[in-house]
Amino acid sequence: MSVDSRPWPPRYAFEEHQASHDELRGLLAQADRLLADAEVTLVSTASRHALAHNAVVILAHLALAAHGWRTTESHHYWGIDSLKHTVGLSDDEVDVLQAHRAKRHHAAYSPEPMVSEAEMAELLAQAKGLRVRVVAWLCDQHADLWDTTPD
Amino acid sequence: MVTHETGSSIGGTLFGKTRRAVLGLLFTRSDRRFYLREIVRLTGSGEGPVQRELAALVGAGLVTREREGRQVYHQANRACPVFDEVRSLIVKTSGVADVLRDSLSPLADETAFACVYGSFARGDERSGSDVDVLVVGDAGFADVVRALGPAQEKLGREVNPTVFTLAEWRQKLAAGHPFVRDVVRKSKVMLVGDERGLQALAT
Repeated sequence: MSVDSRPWPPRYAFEEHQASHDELRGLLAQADRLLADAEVTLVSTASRHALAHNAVVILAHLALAAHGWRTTESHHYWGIDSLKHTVGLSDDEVDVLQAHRAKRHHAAYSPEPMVSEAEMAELLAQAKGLRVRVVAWLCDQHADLWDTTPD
Repeated sequence: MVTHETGSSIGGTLFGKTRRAVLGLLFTRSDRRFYLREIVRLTGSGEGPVQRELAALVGAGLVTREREGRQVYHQANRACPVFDEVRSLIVKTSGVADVLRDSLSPLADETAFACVYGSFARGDERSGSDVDVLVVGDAGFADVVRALGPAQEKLGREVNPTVFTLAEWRQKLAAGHPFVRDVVRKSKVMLVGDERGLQALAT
């Protein structure tokens, strides 16, 4: 992982935020709904990919809120970027999630959206893995706010 | 069968190392101008050789030189009668394609076909255009993103990969999927494999 000496988070993109237990639980429930929807094979591959991406963003914002912050702009980009500083994702892992974010953006605005099944399946697996990591990190680092009730 | 067409030796045969690097920079980013030190830094070449190459290229009309205050800028000359031909040659041999081929080489055993498609392959890219890359084979999306990371830095552009397994590519090609059909029919620059092979997968 590269060493970034700049202070984090940059104040132009984040503001302090006092999260509540209910807010965090609500965000996890939202991420779970998105992950469940992303499993539905009746919808297109691009839509399932977008749902998995949205789950990643919600999980990132959940960890960020527990950490005492929220984004004020470019919510998807900065949310994903913050995972390096919250749950400790590597630069590599974040780069891959950012590439999926760019793909989701292109697919949303392109007349011929193209997301392959393999790409969608890979992101969905990553999103599920991220959910496990975020919950483990919350139990470990923010147990007072999160509580340790098993999910 | 996995086939490979490196093509990288073509650029090296046609042009000396510094000329290749300078043309690669100026003709793949022809929308902007560069000052000398920038060219030296971005090509990783020495100042003297870069100055000599620029003088030759300006003399031949391939590159323009413009003085602004104390800074001298160089830019690929779009008005040059062979601009399109040189640009096409550079993209295929010494510019974008070369950088992308190098980046994808660690995935050689897992890549059946790879190509550049979209605006860059058509030659109508703009300053903010991304480079669209298709990879067909056993490599995962994450593997391809990691492999292309250095290429993004070298090219100064976003590189957007789309990754297919051979099975999905075959299936979508046979079904006439609009994206796959477009990639096959329209301009592209092959990085790995050959064009006929990419089209023949449906048969």
